[in-house]
Amino acid sequence: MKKNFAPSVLIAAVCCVFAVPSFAATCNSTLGPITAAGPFSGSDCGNNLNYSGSAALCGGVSFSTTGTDVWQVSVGAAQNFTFSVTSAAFTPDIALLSGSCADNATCVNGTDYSTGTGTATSAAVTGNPGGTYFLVVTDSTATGAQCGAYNLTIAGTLPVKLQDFSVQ
Amino acid sequence: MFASAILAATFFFASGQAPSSSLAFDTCDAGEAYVFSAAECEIGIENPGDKSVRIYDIVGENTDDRPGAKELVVAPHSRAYLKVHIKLDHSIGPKKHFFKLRTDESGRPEVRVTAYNFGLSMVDAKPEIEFGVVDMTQPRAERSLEIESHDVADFRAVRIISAPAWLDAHLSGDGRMLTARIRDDAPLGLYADFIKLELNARAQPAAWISVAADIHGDVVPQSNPIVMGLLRANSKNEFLIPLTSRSGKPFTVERVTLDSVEGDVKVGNCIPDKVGCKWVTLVVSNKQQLGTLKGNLFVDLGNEHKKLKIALRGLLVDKDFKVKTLDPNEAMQNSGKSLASSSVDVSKAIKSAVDAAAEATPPGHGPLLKWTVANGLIIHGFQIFRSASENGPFVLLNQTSVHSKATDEAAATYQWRDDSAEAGKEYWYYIGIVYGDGHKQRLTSPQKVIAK
Repeated sequence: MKKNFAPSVLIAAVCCVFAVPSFAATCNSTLGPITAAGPFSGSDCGNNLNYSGSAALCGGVSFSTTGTDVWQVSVGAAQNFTFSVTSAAFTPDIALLSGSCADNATCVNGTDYSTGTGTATSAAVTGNPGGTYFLVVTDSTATGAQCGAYNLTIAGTLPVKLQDFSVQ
Repeated sequence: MFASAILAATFFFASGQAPSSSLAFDTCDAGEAYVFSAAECEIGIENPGDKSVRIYDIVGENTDDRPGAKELVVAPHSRAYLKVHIKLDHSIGPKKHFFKLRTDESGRPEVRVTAYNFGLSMVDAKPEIEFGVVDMTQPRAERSLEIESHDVADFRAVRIISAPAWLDAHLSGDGRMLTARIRDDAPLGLYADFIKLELNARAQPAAWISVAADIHGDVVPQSNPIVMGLLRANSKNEFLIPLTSRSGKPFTVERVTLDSVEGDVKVGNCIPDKVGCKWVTLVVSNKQQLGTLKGNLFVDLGNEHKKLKIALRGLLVDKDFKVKTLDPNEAMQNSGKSLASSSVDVSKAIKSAVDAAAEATPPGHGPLLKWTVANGLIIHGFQIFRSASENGPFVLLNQTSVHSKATDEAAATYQWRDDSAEAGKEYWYYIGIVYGDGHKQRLTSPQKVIAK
């Protein structure tokens, strides 16, 4: 019988048991201090078509008819970060879902800033409690959409720093 | 921020998939607005074809969002605009509003179009009271939140509309301080809800203050929430959730139930058996709906005569659902220079200096505010506040934020002129930040100037 242990110290075991084989390799670690990670290359064509047109995920994230990618990432506590997706093939739309959202929150951590120019950037996640996030990469039109190659980048963000202020 | 975008609707389709429209739909940006207010914008629709296209069955996915017209005809080789009215809820920061429509083209394709808004909160402080872990065996402290706003004069809360049953909430006589304390009879476990306030501000009639607590009695789960990660349908998704007595005493569990999760639960002794330790076994059913799994496990504790609520979180997908994983090792190999590095990036420094020099000074004679900020990627915009004295009262001057222009972590310089100032009069100014998630923070201390 498969047993999964829920406590945080055993969380690695949980994800390993559930995961597809490629997932297992990353079970024991989170992303280290995020600097400027990536770009990671991907293509969403043909992926997860069973969900096309549906708002299957909390927060109303829809899936393209031609392909949607879902990335899983574990992030350490108190890290600030944003995700960006750039594509020449489609107009990306991204959503970041928290694996541990509170009762009074949607699971989407931030609506993306879709520029419509082939780049979408997630709203910055700041002061997060750490944990598992799922990043959905799809086309912004959802009900009938393009797909293709894209680059995914993670950027860590430092606290805002005021360098100068004057009133003349 | 949300540049209007033409979303080409000439899609590639696999066989058997939904028909597509030849129209091109913009997104629209309703801009900044206070939460609980309304906003509107126009979605541009381009018809590149030789025939008129009728658009009908236009509805907002959220019932409070309304289209300005029930149907619309887009003439050949021309452009039409669909006005949409959106209603903001309590959410601060960026939010999408979806509208669905059909066209009379072949196959009557359905199209989903998007309007954006950025919800601002009038309350200066982040609208939340976070209790963290609350030990019910110890005296409990009150938590407070200042209900202040520099956006408008004489801002205050009028009354508490509602508060969760597990805490006592109190509003000070002047309506400027909200205090909350976990009740003695509060249930155990992880709770998050809102204290809803009525405000005296017309532009924002209400504020919802998020309250959250992890309330501990003697018996606690080893983690709360239980983060189950990715679950695959038609697999045996089974979890063991240890419960332990912090005092090491034996305890009884009278009943375990699930809320919003389809599955079976049973309680047993730990292996090896240990006093003050039990395991709850949870098996998520194959009847569980796909998508985000967000439910609770309730444990009736006999000794404490209380319910313990354990939050269950996960993402349930079908067997063939593809999930890619960001490999930390690859991430580190691919990472650029650490942003935490104290070394100076010369090219960025030059770019920053050139940008600052190139930006034209706003015309006029009023006081000119100039500020430089680094690491501005997480900023949505800046607010300018003014007062006649150093200690206030301050009032917001710019109804729309000065948008952040940061494209990386390099320093960026901003200028803003106050043309409403009277010459010869003394003023105090400070700058506030609106972050990308909508929360606000003061950036500078007040600075004095005599208007010229």
